[in-house]
Amino acid sequence: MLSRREWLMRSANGFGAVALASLLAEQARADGVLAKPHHKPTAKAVIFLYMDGGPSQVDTFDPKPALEKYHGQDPHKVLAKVEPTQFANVGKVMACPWKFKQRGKSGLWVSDLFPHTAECADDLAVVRSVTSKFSEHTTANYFLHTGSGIQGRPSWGAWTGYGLGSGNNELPTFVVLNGGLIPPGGLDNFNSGFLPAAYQGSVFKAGKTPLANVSPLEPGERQRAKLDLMKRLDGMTAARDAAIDAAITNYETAYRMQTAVPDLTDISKETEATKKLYGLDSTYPQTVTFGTQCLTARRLVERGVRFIELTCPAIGGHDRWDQHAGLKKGHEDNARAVDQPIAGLLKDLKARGLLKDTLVLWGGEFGRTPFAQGGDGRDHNPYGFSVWLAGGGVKGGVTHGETDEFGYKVVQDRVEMHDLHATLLHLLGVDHTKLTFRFGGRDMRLTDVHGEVVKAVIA
Amino acid sequence: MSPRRTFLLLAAVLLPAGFAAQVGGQPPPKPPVADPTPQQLDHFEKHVRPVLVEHCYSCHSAAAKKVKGGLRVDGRQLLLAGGDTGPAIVPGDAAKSRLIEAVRYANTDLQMPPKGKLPDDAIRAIEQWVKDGAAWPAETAKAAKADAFDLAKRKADHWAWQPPVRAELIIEKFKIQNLKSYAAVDALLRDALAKKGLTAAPPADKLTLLRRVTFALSGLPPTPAEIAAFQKDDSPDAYAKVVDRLLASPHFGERWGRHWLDLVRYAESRGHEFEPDIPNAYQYRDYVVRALNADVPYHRFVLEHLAGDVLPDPRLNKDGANESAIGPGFWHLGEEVHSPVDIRQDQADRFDNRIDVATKAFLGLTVSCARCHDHKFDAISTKDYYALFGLLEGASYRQVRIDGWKQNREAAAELAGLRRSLQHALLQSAIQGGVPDAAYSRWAAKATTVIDYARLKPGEWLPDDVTFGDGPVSAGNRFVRRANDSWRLRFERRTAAVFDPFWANLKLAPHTATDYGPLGKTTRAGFTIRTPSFVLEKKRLYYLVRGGGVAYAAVAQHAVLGGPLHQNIVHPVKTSDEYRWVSHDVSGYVGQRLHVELTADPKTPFAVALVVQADDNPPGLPPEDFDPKVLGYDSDELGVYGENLAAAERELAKKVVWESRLAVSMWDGPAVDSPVFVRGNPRTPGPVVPHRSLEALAGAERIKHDGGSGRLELAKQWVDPKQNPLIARVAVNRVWHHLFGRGLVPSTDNFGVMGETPTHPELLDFLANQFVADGWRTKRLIRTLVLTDAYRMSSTGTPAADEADPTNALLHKFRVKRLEGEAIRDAMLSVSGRLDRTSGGPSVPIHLTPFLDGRGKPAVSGPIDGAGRRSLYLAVRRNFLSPFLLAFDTPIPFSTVGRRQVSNVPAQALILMNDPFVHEQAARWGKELAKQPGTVAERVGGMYLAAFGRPPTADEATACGEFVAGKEADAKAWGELAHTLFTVKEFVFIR
Repeated sequence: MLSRREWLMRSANGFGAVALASLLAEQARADGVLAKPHHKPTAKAVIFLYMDGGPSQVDTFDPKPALEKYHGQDPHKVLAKVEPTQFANVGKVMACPWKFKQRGKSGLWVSDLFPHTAECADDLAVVRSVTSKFSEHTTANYFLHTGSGIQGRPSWGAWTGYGLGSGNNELPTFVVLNGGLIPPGGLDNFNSGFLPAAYQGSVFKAGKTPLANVSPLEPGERQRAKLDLMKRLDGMTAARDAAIDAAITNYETAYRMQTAVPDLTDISKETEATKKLYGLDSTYPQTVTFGTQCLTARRLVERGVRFIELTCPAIGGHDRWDQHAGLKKGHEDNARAVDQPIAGLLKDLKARGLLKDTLVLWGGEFGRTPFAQGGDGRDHNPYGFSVWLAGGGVKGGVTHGETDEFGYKVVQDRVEMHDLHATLLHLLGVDHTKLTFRFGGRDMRLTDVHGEVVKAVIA
Repeated sequence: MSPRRTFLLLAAVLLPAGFAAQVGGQPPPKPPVADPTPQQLDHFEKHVRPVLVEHCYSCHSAAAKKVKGGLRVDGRQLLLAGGDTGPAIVPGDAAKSRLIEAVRYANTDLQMPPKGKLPDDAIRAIEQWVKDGAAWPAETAKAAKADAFDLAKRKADHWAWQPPVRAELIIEKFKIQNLKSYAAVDALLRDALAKKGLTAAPPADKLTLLRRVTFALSGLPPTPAEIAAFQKDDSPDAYAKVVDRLLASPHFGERWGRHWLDLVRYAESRGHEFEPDIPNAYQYRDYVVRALNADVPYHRFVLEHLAGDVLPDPRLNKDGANESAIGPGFWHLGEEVHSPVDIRQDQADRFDNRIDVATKAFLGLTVSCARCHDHKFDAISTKDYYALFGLLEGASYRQVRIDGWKQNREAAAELAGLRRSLQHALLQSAIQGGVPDAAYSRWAAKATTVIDYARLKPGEWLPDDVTFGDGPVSAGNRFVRRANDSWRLRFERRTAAVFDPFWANLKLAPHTATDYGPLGKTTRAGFTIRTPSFVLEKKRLYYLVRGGGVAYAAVAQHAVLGGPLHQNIVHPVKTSDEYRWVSHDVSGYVGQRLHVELTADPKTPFAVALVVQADDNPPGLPPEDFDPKVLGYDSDELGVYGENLAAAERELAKKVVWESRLAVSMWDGPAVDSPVFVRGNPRTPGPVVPHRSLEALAGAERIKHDGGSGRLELAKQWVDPKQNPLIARVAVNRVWHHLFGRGLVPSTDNFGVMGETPTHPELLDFLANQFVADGWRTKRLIRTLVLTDAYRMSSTGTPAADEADPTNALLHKFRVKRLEGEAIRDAMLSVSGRLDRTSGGPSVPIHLTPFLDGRGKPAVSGPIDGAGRRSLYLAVRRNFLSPFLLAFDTPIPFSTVGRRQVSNVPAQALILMNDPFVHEQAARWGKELAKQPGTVAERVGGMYLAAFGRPPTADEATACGEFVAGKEADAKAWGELAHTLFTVKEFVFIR
């Protein structure tokens, strides 16, 4: 029987070094294409806290006193122009039902929806001037994740893996921790599109089998016996090929993943204090769900995974952050699920010295209208909304950009999705204009032909 | 010609002229300043130029890295010349100046500077400057760079636009002796190798070759019986016989059909948020399989794809069903959005995908790159793109009845004869056009006719089937109806499109789906007639109808109607059996292009005489065209006639095929010329382009045709090798790619400048010419290629050749290939004995694992083993694709993928180790093996034949024997061995 090294030697002898390299280039690899980053990165990993459905900017991070002043008035009369909305059911201007306060040393404004996150205000860079091109969830989700409103493009997590590869051979480069909600547009928000399948997001679920097919269906010793025989038989095949050799090593990786993944998601050895920090002792089950995701995210960062995305837990009676009606109850329940876990994550990362090179990003696919949909909801608003960044070389306790006095449209320092993507790659040490993949005759980019790094938020 | 209608027509023509006069009456704008005053120049230098420099120059000046939008603002002439959307300033008229519009930030599509609005005083300063005539000191600004796009030069410079080299020249140049095609292919390949001093690898052994060709042609492994037969056959044409058997097998079409589906982003759902079905998409999949099995000539196959719905000679199957009409289904297999806020943008995105897929799949060109600007590298202009856009806008989506196409057309012709006979059998009627009253005339003068069935223009008669007869029924035409046991004569009072109740019992075949949302509440196929498309100028549509039905205003061809927006574009039209106006509020869509589809409720009479658009309700009905008082008839004669007619209709009904499947197809309408969307934005229309093909292929003139959208003529141009040097090359290259693992042009979907150049240009041309000369027969081409020495080579080359040709571009040996996900799954089913070889039909629902979640989740989870059906028949739902297939690189269906990724990831190993499907198949196989008689060695021998197409070596037999030693009757042990063989690499690789 041949060892893996011997196999590789054997194949290398047959080809010569050039041959092997070029053949491998034809195969898709889970390694990154960049030998080294374009510049010194400030972030090694990204955690994206995806607020599916679109939280309202004017109720969270972008206070607008004018809404109280004009509360109950016809938006057509007080706004310069009311754009078409998804439900075409424009109500009156609606004030924010929560109080805004200045927090921390920086005095960053955060509403009472997020009392825990507010404690981390000095770590946040709130961008109040993000825009999207789409008012529908699915297209906006694709745009947020892939830089294109059309299905089938690679997700930013896939681009990150494609550029930088994985920091861990037992785990995928891009992990989605599914809290229960798969966003509209489905798994294609996390797919590799035209990039090789190696970079697609692996969706982890809570439970005994966190990843599809990661649990053996037989006792370990039976599986080992089979794999030993497989190895023996593979070794007997006379003709070798680089692709076949790569497939052989995949079994070794897969075998190790069977223990690495459950180890990763097994949080039983975390201290009680840590668990409490993430809200795992909460009586609200969705807080526990999201807290577990946040804690797992930290464990993924520790293990070198590049890109981690968290989707929100399902909350009965609400459709994600998508409060077309019942804004108050809906946003409160959603905030309750995510607030303490997010604060726990930020504090824990910081305490362990991980926040400085982990970029945490919070946001939805768009914001919500400053006027009501019907009586007490808000419709989709892609013209100006807030996301925040923390860690990974980002300034803390700052805001960037402005919406108009109603929080409806951007008036200052507009940040497009492409700019957000460019900034994210920049923090990871990647020049977004140089990370390309040729498909259909074009050198495709996450940022298409756009994108400017938002330097103002970089420390 | 009735005076009423003449009046309406004239009014419509005269009205815009009046408007024009009014506009012309406004005071003219101030002329540009000839000599600016010092104050004006001072204002410019102090308050305007600094703003331009600070906020605009980085993108819009000579200093810009790349000038955006084609606009420079660093000179007055440059501003006057403007950018992509026209002049930036109109000196003296701030309101008409795009620059002012942009800085005011009121138009969400045009806001500058992009990062944020300028301070109010800066905006005021620029407004003032423009109002005062846009003073600028005399200075010479460098002229904008000349447009670098030179279509003729690009065409002349790139190989793919040139016609293929003639075969005789190639034969002469390479001194090809043996004129058998495959020998010529080998000669050309050998020539390329010889130039490098290389020799080809020796022939592969017999069983390696059998496994290779069987997977290539059928997607399945050779069975032990097939292996035995081939081994026994020592005749010189033993291999050729295998090839012919495989080409004749129904599995051929399934294998090559899947290759084809990759090109047309085949899926059965629309994706987006709720995953609505693409109704009856599987009919298209089965059509592809049938066409490939029947070896329909490729040019015909392409013709059917582009315009099979309008072919004068559709290809009928033996039952009279229309095969050709299914081809255009490919246009509609893309993603669609259910409630787009911007309906026009949504249409632009849908059409972009269609243009992208059609041009990549058939031409190997990336025309879609010219959506926003002229192609960066190829001889394709933005005008080309919108010329195709117009061609697509001339046709629309429909579900078409395909069964009984021939029979029902024959029946319809007979029925028309019967209907006409009544006109002759009874007294002549008198038609007397009425004169509209003054109120009606005033209203009509402000309305715009969409369609007037009394005054049809050529190409406006657009029923979706035969049920509205062969044209409008004229006012005064008689029909008989049995009521209260006696026959009554009735007269059409208006010239109208009349649904013939003879067809009321048309039905849908089992497993036939209707549309999503409100459109699906009515069976539309067979009962519908559409109008030409038009631009909506008024708030309402008015339908002059009698009877019951449904109107669908197909705004921007949006058809995936799920709330909350656009529900109102479907509107019931229900009146008594007397003509009434039905009003349809479409006020939200003014400015959009649309057409109307009117569907008859077959349980009631249905006729439509007139469709108009207007802002206000009509004051009454237009006068009828017919006054029945002038007529008389013999009631006895009528009774006899009625009975005869009823008997004739009963006879005729027997010939009709009442039940039909539906297929996704196109519905052709009058041609449309689309404007260019400047920078790809539908809200900034530029010059209108005549609908036509690509200029580099067929010139810039509007395509010549006798009506319809022009799609048929486009299709004819595209499949004509004299006009299109790409069509045959792209096709043969795809076949080469699938057989040899890499195309002669490796970038199969891009023959443009950014694509790869052919490794063997003469060979490509030789095959392209041969393909055309051979009648475009794909099977013949495949047969030629698999009979070459090159295809039959070993995959082990000599060290010298490996060194000199490391990427194997010269094909010095056969390429080792990993099987596709479909073939791996099918092979498991085949060796386990579970394979169900049924072809066609509705797809098997995907098995929903806990990881397949999200909106639009299918209601039903399919069986783990997909009911044993081939992977081709697993449901392809955009948001719920098979994880097994995805892991092995089955493409996500969003665009043309002629060359799949071949990735090598641990997830594949995890699947083969731990997926319940794999375990299930292994266990099933194990059970069979345990039951089999024979020694362990014999059974292991059988396993190797089934899994790897060869007997085991002694070592392998020993290793496997040891694994099951002492457990010869234990199904579990055999199952474990079976599972192990699935994980041995040889199972998923082809050598």
